[in-house]
Amino acid sequence: MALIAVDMTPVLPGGMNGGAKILAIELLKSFHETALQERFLLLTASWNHEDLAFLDSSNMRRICVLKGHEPTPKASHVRYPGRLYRAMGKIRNHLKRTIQKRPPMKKSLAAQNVNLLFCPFTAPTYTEVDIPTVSVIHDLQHRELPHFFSPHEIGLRDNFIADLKRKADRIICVSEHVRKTVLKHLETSPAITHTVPTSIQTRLSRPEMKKQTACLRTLGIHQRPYMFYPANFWPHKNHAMLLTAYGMFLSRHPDSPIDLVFTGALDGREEMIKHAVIKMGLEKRVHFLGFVPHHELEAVWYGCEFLIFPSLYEGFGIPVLEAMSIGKPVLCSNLTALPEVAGDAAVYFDPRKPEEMVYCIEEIARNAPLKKALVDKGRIRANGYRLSDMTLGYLEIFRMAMAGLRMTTSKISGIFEDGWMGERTDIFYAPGPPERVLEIKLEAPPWLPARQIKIRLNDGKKTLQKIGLRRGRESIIRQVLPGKQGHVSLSMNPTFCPSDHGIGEDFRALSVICCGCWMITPPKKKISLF
Amino acid sequence: MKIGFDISQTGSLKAGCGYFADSLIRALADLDSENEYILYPHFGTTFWDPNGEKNTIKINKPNMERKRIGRDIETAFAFWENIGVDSEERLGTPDVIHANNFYCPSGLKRARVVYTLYDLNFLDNPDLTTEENRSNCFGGVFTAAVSADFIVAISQYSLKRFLEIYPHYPKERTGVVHLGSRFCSTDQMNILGDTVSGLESEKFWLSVCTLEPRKNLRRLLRAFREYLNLTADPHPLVLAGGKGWMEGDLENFIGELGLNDHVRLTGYVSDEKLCWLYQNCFSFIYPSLYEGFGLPVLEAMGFGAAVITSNTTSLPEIAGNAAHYVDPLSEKSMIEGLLRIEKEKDYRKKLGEKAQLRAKQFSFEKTAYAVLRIYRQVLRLAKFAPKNCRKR
Repeated sequence: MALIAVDMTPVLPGGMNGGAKILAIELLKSFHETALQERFLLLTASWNHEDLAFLDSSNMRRICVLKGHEPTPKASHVRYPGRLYRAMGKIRNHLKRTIQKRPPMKKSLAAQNVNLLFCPFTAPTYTEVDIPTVSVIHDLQHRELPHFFSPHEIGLRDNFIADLKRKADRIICVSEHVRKTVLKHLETSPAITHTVPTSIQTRLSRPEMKKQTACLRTLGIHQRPYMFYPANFWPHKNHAMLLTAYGMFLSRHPDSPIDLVFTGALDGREEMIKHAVIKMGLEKRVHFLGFVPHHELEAVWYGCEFLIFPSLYEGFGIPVLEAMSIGKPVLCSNLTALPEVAGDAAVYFDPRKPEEMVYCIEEIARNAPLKKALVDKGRIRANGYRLSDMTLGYLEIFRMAMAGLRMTTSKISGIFEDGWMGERTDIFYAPGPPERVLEIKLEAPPWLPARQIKIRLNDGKKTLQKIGLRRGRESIIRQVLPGKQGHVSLSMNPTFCPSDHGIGEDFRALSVICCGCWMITPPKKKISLF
Repeated sequence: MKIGFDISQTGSLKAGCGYFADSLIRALADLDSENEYILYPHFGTTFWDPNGEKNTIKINKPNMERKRIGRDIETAFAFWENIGVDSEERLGTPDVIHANNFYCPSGLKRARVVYTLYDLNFLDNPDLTTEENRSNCFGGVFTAAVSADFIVAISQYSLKRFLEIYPHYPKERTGVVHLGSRFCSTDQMNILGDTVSGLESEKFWLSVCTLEPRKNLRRLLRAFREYLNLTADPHPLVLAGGKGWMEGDLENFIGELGLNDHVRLTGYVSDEKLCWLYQNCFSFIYPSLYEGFGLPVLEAMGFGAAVITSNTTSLPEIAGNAAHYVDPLSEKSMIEGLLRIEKEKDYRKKLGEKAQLRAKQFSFEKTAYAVLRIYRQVLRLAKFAPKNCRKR
């Protein structure tokens, strides 16, 4: 019987995590029912600990490992006067740093006899040396559509996927499309990079007719048929293009009764879209429902005419299978993972061309046989994605990771891609010949805010070395390591945040630069870890 | 009247938007001493020229003032992203703000926004541009469609496409102003220009454009390869223009076609050299897939060059009956065009004469008068609000 720790600390309230949260929760529910020989320990944060109480069961319990503020999404919609905006920026930076500086857990996972760490939200934050780690990658959007991200966000995401590459024993991609981009950008070994399609569309069940009618009435969408787009108001979801197409469609077919319904977390980014809807004179035809609870979502789904899905980027695209599973036609974008998921059971358009979208809407409105064919093909397609297969797929990969426990290569984590280190860097070393030497070359640039950075090398029990690195200097730390596998960490103090010092939009907490890290085995083998 | 004017793309390495803003503000400066102008070297959240402060246009006239927004890219973008109550004051409290780089400001309570609409290529041919550029252009035009107070299109064609895509936008808030050639004043025309070494007058074909897929250069090059086989006295082809995007390996392509000796890439050329090229080319060829206007065609026409260009998008609107038209998707059509211009001396001569005549109809002075009328008109209109739109 294995104990599997599941990192749920990134869970945010409502729908802010998008599909990742739905997948994590549906997986855990399924593990509870089918993985009877495993036990699960959910690592939670103070802001979501209570919300996840419903998952408590005979083989699943929670432990709160992270206390503090809930990470707030960047409130780009709020319009502040310039000076206030900059002041707000500083507060945000501070918050971000608090979030990024996670205190170590009081009791290590190893001490709690955890056999595997599973990270459904990708970041392998709580990896420990003897515990195999499995991470899910939902997308690499920041590499494919970098213009939707600030340089800071790209840096963060790059850092954590690089970290993931060093730490994860197995990587699960939610689609073949994601796996291909992971192999391309991360260059992970294909043997440890798996695809398990997200098969959770069966979470929707048909509400009673009466309840559904009542629900649609409450939501104000009972009067006319509607097309449905469930998506958070993120730029890649392409709401503006859908509105453009819908405006064109209505002007060509002024008598068409079909409305447009949006659900999705309202975090302020939708304000621009709401404003546009009013300016386009569409406010009676476009409905913003916000994040709706599950039973309402079911009513909205069953009430819709068809799904319209103009996203520019999807790692998987859960709504596509949801629509198919309940017999709704799918009109969707032909980009990224969508053709892989929807197969021959959807009508495709280029989501960058509003006229193609209009044409698809016209087709579905006038072509009844097409509609029926899509529904039939859709049901067959959705049946091919089984929850039980997905669950077994995940469990099988967990087993492979646990079986291949022995670490064969040494890993380093806590260094940003550009060489900067934060307040802590961990080095996990594999078994090897005794008397080998770990060598780390560090540099403190002359313009650092602090005159000297204190650096401490620690093996978890005692301090091995202490040095003070003055700014403008370099230093090489050498440490003899034993033959068996183990772990040392470097801690640096103080750190600084470049943006506080007017150095660009860089919010990281940084200390010194790592110029290289090597494992030197006698007589003269030198392996570079960084 | 106080007019805020976006000059963000008038720095070095100007392309379409930059030339428009540059020529227009010069023409406005020439004819208008009455109104005040505030020029913004940085404008919007999508374009950043690190040397913008230094290199953008400077006009030495008492009614032309420059105003810097933001110290660096972060503060500048943050300003435009968060337009609020005190923003208009920082902009110099303009009555009108004229946006020229695809970005459209929104949230201004007082100033009327006039938006220059170039083209909708990013919607019609998204693959011909980078995803980032597509996304920025779309963001700008979409914002304009829901918040600009007036749309100035550079051709009837662009405006027609815009109104097809945004049928809600009130027609009375739109207008068309054509561009003029910046080489049209007589003193400029009389400059002989800098010769380009190795080229003989009347002995080369010319095409002027930024090297990007929309310009259809690969098809032109393939057609040119064929043409070389069919003619006894081939002239080389000169491609003048800076590197754009997605054509990084154009030189390899030229090499693969065996055209190294017949095609010359000049890179970005000075105005003096450009004058010489226009004046001395055998014929000007511009088989672009998509244009909002097609300024190089007009420029070449001004010098009396016989022009071969596409029969699509805005190009017939500009060249009228004074060009030889080809189907930009057909290499055959292009080869026929090249051969006809080469063989029929009279045809070529006549096209050149008609071109020069037609080019006289376009000038930035005219454009500037039309734009001034638009500024006055937009001030008489209320801010663009939903009540101006058709309800559905």
